[in-house]
Amino acid sequence: MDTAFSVSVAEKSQSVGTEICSVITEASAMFDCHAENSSVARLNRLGALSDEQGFLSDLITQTLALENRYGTDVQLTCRPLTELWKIGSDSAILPATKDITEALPRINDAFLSVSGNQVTLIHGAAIDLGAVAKGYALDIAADVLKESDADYAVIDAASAVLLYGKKHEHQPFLIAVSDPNGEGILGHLRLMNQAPDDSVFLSTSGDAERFSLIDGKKYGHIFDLTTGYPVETDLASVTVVAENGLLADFLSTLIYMRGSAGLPPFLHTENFSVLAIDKNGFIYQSDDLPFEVLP
Amino acid sequence: MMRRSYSFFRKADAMILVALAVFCIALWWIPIRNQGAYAVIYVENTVCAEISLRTDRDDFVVEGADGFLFRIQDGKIAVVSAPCQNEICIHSGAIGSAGQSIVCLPYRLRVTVVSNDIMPDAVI
Repeated sequence: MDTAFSVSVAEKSQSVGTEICSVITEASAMFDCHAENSSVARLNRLGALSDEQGFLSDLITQTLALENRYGTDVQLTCRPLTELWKIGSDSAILPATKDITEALPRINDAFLSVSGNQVTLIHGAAIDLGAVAKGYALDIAADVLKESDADYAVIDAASAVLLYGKKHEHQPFLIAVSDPNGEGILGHLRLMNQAPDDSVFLSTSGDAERFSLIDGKKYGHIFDLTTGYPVETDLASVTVVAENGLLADFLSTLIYMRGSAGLPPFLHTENFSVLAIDKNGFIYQSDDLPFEVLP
Repeated sequence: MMRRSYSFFRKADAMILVALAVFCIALWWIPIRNQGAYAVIYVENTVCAEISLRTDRDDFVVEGADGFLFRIQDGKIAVVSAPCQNEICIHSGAIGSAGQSIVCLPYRLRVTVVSNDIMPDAVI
């Protein structure tokens, strides 16, 4: 979870902003598979971990439930591939076909299990929480905010955002949506929570910002786990708006991977909304999403 | 004999002219920026609709604001029909600048123009 967070809190006391920063820092330390001493790195090394705080086991349990419901396009045991390609880092490479072929059998979330606070990996599997960690960290932050006296807050983790509470004078939160096919802002989302301690989460997936150029060709950071190569999709970006950060994060990746052909069932659901932009600039959106394209 | 050369249009003059031009453009631009881009219609402090003022719309109704008819013309919104007797909201005329409001107290209706140029809370 190598992301910079920005935290803005309108509050009566000054403590909650500091508390959120420390909660997010702690989550980063736990979930980042690149950090040598993170909980995830230790789990990957040892194959088993007793998760005392319960966050990692809860994140995994919730993600496995989402996979059961929506499909296994996104799997936490994708680490063998992300480790091979190193997309987004200075050392990104085009791996040998043989290495990719060898990595694929290790990717299967059936090799990952949680029993109480005990997390176990078998068959040499290893996890990378890149598809869900930010969303889950924002869920933790929302819980902190609910216990606080903050009126409203915006926690921005670049591709994932938490909007907590209600702004003054019933002003909606204004979210600028970047144009994934060009520069600048494509339009605005205006979002409001119904109750003072409600939260709404946004997560965007795409390859506009995180990719690597290898031998002059652009490779994205989201992998097709059946081929071992960066996913081929006609969508440029997918934003999911939901009342749960993990759900938004997970689904934005999954929907992006499935492309426009897989969009219809996701556009008309009750518990989340979708804004998808294809590589030709065509916009698909859920009917209830207050998105306004800039002229 | 030493000759002094006089230039009608010196460097400093050019700089003053450029500064004046920038100032004039700013004066012209600021009111445009303050033009409201959309109207928010509230009833009982609940948002019923957010409507762009960029497109003209003939008399239309808004769900949740029963009995009211609205019109958008030339970047301004007006209440053209209302269910109450005093019709203060109708007499308020058309509004189009950010921050302007039309209020109907008996029916707890408020129309507020919001600028599109406000800073976003986040960019995604």
